Amino acid sequence: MDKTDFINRIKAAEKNIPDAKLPEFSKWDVISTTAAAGTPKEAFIRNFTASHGNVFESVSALVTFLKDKGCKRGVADAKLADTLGLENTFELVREFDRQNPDSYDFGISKASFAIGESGAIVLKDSDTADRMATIAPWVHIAVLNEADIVSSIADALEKTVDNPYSIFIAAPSKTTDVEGVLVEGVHGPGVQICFITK
Amino acid sequence: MSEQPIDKFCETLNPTVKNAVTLASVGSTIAREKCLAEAYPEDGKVDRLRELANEIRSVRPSANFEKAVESLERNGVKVLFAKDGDEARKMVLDIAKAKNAKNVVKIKSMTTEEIELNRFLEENGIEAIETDLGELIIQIDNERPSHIVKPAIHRRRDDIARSFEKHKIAPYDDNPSHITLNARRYLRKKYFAADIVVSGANYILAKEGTVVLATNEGNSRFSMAGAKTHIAIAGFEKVIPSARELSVFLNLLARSATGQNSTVYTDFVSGAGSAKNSPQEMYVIFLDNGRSSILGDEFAEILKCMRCGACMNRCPVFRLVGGHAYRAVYPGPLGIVLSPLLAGEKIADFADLPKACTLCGGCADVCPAKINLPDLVLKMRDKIKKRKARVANDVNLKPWAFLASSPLLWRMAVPLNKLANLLPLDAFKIGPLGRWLKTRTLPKFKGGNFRKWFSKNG
Repeated sequence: MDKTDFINRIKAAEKNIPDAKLPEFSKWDVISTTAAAGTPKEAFIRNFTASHGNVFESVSALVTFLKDKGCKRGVADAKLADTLGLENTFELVREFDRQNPDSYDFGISKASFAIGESGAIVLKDSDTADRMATIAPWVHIAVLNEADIVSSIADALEKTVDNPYSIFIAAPSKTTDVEGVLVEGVHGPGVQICFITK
Repeated sequence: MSEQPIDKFCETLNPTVKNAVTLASVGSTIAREKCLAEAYPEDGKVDRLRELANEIRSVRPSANFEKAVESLERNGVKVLFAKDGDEARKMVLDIAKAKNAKNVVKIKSMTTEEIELNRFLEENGIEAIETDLGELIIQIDNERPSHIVKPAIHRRRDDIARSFEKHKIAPYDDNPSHITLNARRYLRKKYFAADIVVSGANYILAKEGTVVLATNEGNSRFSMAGAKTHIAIAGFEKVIPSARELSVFLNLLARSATGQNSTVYTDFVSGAGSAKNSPQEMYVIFLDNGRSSILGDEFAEILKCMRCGACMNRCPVFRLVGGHAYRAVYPGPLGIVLSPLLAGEKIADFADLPKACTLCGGCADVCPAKINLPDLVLKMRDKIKKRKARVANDVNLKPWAFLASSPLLWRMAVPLNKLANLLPLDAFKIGPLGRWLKTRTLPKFKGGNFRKWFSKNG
């Protein structure tokens, strides 16, 4: 169907409904004050961990955790791998190989920012070296700068859609499709980590 | 008294299925209530938020729609316009043929269920695999979703495991974690082999030209990393003005659907080709399929629906009969209104649906867009009646009206109710009346003495 015809059908139909104006509202009408309580960082950590995300602020604790999970090999954004110094302990590659998607125990990428209210990290294509490294391995580590945490979803939405592709990630990949039983790690990570740097 | 398809269906409904549906829908209703109360303890705030969702969608859609088309095109998205399911299906096929595509991965979308895209693609030699676990479970057995958010709500773990075995996805194992892990292994290969990813759209932002997708499993992001071309199919009513208004909807959607504060993954797709592992081309197919007729009539409110499923979770009828009883893609209170509208000339096929409602108002209480569903159900009863469709159980109520509007006759008739206790109901248990009585009981009549009591003590 032609674009003009399609739009004309909508226009003809909508004549029958009153012409309402867009309502006025502020972000205080929308924000959950309980979910966003505390500093943005406090809210983020509380909500992210409540949905079974893991937060680390020290490299040694992260290394111990990854070792306990049996991680040996990861795929990482070049700059971030240097920052964390994880290559002293793990085998790190820079490029995700689509032929061997299951050869990585973990993936590391940069979080563009995070949201206190929903406990979500935000990944933008402009900051993420490879989408696959964030979704295919069982463990995903998003590296977040402490200063880059906004308080509310409304604040986040002001700075999310400036990219061809961005995503909010609030927890490990999960489902309750089999008899309502919660299972984590459906397609994407079963372990979702946020590493907070200063 | 004629036969109601919904009654016939219930007669053969497996008790374990009924139980599964009841437990899941009651559970979701409780989770919704708790989550909203914790998130918004302030008096009236949830109501205000629901009103905002309604008011935002009350704006006439054409201006935002035109802006959305413009913004999407500015972002390099190819925008197509489909009058109906036929046109939309053909558009997808044409794109697939042009790219010599053989493998399609699907991200759960009720709109693509509505136009039965999967079957059409399979008929044309293209494999279309659902990547949402619940959708995959029903797809391999050629079933319809029985719930819009939890499509496999009616399935038990053992029969899912048997299906996985039958369709060579994995050997029999009915542990829910293992079922999920087996689906993970199976679908992984599909993501990497995918030529095209087909999604719906939870929202489309007019100002930014962005398709918003909400999932819990992460199948959206994996598909968006694996496939080479992205096609999003959406009704024009999915357009909202901008990211600013989206904050209202994101705060309501997951809480209303599953009692989560937010979905795990919320994707914002404004174009293609921004990463190495990403689609290099993006299409948006806007679908009418009867929506413009709905917009122009007394049912326009139903287009404000955000497909959260709260109305069906709350519905006392849905809880007992499950989604398949509604014989269409959209079940529950939403389906009662929408299915007859989408059926066009076949509206009479759904003549029994508006009657499968107690008008309890529960759906209106929970609807995040504050749609007055019971009102629309009544209007649908009226519409079907005016079409002179054969309506099951449509008893003539005129004698009743005559009796009830005469105080003298009424007074005389009330004590006669006691005679109902003498009715040999078992003798009626044949034919359509029998089917009706099979799942319904008549309580013993104990009343009739109020007037006497009142004249003495009142």
